[in-house]
Amino acid sequence: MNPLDVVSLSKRFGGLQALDTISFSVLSGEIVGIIGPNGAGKTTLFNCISGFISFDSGSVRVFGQSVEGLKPYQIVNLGLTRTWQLVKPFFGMRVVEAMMVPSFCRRSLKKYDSKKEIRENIIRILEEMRLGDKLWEEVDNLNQGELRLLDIARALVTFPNILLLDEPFSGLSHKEIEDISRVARNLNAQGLPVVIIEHRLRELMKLVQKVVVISFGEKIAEGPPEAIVRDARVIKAYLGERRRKIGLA
Amino acid sequence: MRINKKASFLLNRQSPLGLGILGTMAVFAVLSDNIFYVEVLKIACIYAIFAMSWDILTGYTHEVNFGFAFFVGGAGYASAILNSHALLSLYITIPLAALAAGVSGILIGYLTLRLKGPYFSMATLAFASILFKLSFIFYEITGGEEGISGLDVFTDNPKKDFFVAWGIMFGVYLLLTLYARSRHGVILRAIRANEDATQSAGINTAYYKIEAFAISGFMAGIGGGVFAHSQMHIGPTMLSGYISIIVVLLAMIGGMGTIVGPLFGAICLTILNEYLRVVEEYRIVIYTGMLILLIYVAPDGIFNLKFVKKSKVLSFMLLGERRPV
Repeated sequence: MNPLDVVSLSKRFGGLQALDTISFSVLSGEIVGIIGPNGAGKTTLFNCISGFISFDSGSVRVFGQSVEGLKPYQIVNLGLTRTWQLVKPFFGMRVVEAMMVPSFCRRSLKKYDSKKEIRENIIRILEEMRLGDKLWEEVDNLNQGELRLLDIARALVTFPNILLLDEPFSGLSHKEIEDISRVARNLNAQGLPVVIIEHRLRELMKLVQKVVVISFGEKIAEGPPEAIVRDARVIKAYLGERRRKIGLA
Repeated sequence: MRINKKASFLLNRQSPLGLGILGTMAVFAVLSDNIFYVEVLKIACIYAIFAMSWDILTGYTHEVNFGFAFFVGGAGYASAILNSHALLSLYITIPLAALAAGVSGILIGYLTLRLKGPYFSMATLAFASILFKLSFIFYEITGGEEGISGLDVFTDNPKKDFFVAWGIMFGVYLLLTLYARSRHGVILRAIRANEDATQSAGINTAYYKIEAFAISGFMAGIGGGVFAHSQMHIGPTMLSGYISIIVVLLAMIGGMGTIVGPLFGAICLTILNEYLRVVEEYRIVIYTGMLILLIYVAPDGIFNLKFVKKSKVLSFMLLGERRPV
């Protein structure tokens, strides 16, 4: 039973085929990267998997269980949690309060016996993110990199069995990217499968074991990073075709 | 020991200023011989109930409810009709009316769940105006323009009446602060910040929004019932836009999302409004001028001013916040 199976998933927005029979699987303990040019449908794919938009046909299974028709919070309670491309922080709250929110979901309430355990777990996760000293800080005062780490921490409090990161590197400095890569690698070392959408290929390729390439809603390639960077269709999707004849316009 | 701990928990996270205001009002009412002052304080108490129950929905989720008269007036009318036509005791009619308001809160909450921002406000406005019109259409039951008079009173003594209103306000205040500090309040604030992120934290946001709506409606229903019976009269004013807007103003000036802020705002502004009757010709000008000034100086309300949140002493005195160093 794989953590995530996507089988011929399709989604159409009016005249635009956003996703066209996409299939892939995430095996346990894997880090999978999903890449593709702008508008390829990567975020739509995440939205379909995490239940924020419905899909037209195909199926998504989380540990063998179909997520069709489930609400986003129910999918989180199945063990699949996502983060957001544009961070959606809980402004107006303190970090500790923001971290309490996911600990109130059914899935994590089941795992705790006491309030003390909840608090200890939150502190442990924040320290893993090196945000331990920000516990009583207001979320409004954090910078972009910290907000992203907090978003991942938020996801981790729900005890995910598979984690979806939507462009975790966008808008971050080199050092902040290092921080997030380290966190993702550590999580994966603990056996958590991670799926990452990313544009920054250089950083991504160092991190992942498998890459799925999407272009115009279709999967055009899948494989280990070394093979993907040499794949002719991928190069074409990213850079276009070399023109044979150059004529005057 | 256990009970002690719980009791101290209740007290030590309360705002000292909020408790101070409540205490001062009670002491003043005991000592004062002037029935007029006590009467003003009673009205202040009832407006405080309105403002606080409005705050638990709007202050915590920022979905502005502009149809609050629906709950206040609706429950007032329900209680009045049951009392004057069915001749039930007011101790039955007020809870029944509040329950009805709570249930209609669930219904309206369910219907307006997907609406956001101005669309939500307009929908709530529509619900209130429907009820306002209905009160004229069914004039045989509701008394039309005149409303319903001669309702039962709590006691025959204005002072005792004040303490009934005060006691109910105190109860509502404690319940709402408890609710707001529980996980429900934290989740509502998370929904206010970002609903999608709250959902991806595994929280059923729809449930919590409807719950807040129901509680807000129920508490407003209690307030509406108490208002009707302490005035011995309910009229269409209580269903009109006036009441909806005054509640929004009181709560906003006090500070949305703090419970104690709307309490403070409602009591101070109601007393101020009555005090200004010594200069009756200019009362409305001065009063509304003050409101404009307050909103200009503190757009998020007095209790949400930046320096209040920053200062340790003030945030403890006003909001009861204690943060470990």
